[in-house]
Amino acid sequence: MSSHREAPAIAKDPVADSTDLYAFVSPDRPDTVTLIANFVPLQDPAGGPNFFEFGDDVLYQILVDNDGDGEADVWYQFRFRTEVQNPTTFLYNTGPISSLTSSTWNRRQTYSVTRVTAGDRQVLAEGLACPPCNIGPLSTPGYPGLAAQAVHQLPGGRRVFAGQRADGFYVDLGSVFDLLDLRPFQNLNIAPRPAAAGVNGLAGLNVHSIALQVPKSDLTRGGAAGTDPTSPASVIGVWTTASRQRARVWDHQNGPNVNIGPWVQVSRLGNPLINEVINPLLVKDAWNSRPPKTDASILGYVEHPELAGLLPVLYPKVFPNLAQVVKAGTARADLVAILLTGVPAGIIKGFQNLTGKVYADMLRLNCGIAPSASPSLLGLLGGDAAGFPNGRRVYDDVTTIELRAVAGATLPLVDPSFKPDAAVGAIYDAVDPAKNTPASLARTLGLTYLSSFPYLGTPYDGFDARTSTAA
Amino acid sequence: MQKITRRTFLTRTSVGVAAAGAMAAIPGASVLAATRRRGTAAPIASAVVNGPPDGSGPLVVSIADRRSGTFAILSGESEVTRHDPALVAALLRQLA
Repeated sequence: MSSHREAPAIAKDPVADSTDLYAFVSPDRPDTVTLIANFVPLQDPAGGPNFFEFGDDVLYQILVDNDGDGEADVWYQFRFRTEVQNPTTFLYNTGPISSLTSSTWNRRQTYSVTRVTAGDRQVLAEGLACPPCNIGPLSTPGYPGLAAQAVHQLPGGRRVFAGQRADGFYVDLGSVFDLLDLRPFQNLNIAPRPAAAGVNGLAGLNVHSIALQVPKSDLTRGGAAGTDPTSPASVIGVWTTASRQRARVWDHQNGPNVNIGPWVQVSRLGNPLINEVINPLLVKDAWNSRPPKTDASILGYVEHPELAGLLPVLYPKVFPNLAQVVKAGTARADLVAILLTGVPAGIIKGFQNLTGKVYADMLRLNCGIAPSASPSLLGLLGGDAAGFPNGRRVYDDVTTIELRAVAGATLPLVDPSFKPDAAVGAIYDAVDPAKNTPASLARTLGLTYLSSFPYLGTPYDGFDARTSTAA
Repeated sequence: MQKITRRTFLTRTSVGVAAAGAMAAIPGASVLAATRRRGTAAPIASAVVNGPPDGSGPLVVSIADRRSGTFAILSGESEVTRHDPALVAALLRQLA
């Protein structure tokens, strides 16, 4: 999760914590776009007896800007409602759950989907069932088929799913936040130790996903077909938010609480890792509460990322050219383009995802660029224009991409005289992207994805969850 | 309450569990639900977490600055701001 527990306040509110956002032209239905917003991070599959769920008291939204002003033109709103079939038992399920209507499934959630545009509000569906969490072979046998029942077809060629999935993000979490001690390169660290293979710190963990697949014309300016990659109308900006009502009153005698007042945004996510490693602690909570159009306020942090200054210090003599850039105080116009405005036409052959002059953290997807037949985990950095930062696919190695970009890989786009350090093209954390493909991640990291909606893999079940066996 | 034993649980299941771990659905209501249900039979919403959006539920009055005389009234999904120093003063006197 590229934005999990990334700010002090939201770290204490996992149900409203947006962790990842994906936006891509659907590879199996290229006339549609798939948007996926994940919440509720770091789920241990064995986390019963009250398994993970969305918040009934949270307003989840996926927002789209299609005219480049950093403000939403299309909103998708999701509200959840929990029902308990038998309140006299402590059990989540009283027997095997074979369908979404099984009487044995005690605590279940349904949700509504509403599409909002200027002057129009349309409830696309209500009472849609989430799947149960993947508990184990007795409680949720045949789970893939069970979860598939929770893919709902909506009018207008749309599909929606909301429920537990395997977390598709991979990162060596323990090493990144241990002073960026990248295992494959820790022999070069300021405190050197023998190099070792990277690990996926999120292996075996689940997340809750809201996945939506809609025709491109649902999202683009004026309902454009979104098939011309050179057209500005093919570019959309996407972000996700979670909001809570302004006041909560706890009933100290009966336990429940009541939420009152207008909705207040408490979490926001566009590009991966912005609030995680670009914004300083000072601004993280406030940033989560503000819309993308206010992101001129973080321009300085993007132009002069702290991470760029840390790399030459933590890896002495490995990033001398980067060190010079940092010392000179050079503003990183390349990072601003990638993260806050989009890349204009003429910089990278065959690619543009510029939304305009407004600085706004949004995932910018050029809907006119077709899915790649041979996707690279490095996305655009690997010559694959269908990948991050052109939107984001579920398997894009965004940690390595952003690490390399910050280290200088993209600086030549704005300064052709700059030569990136040799290490820039080699660094990675969890897995070597040069030796892997989306399919090989199953072997190297135990990660599998689906080839169709909702694309994120089957969640890990609690019975077979990572454990230590008693001797 | 009927004692739950392995036999009573398994008699209602097809637990010749296949090597793949799949398990046939239990026909009808589960044993556990049948033996333990008491009280309300209809499903209930979990703990109420949202006040009615139409504003018919509780109200919250928020006074951020006691000296300004400005306060907010939260109801449903709405909020209105008013300026009434006398009312604010009267409310604050209730705390004395």
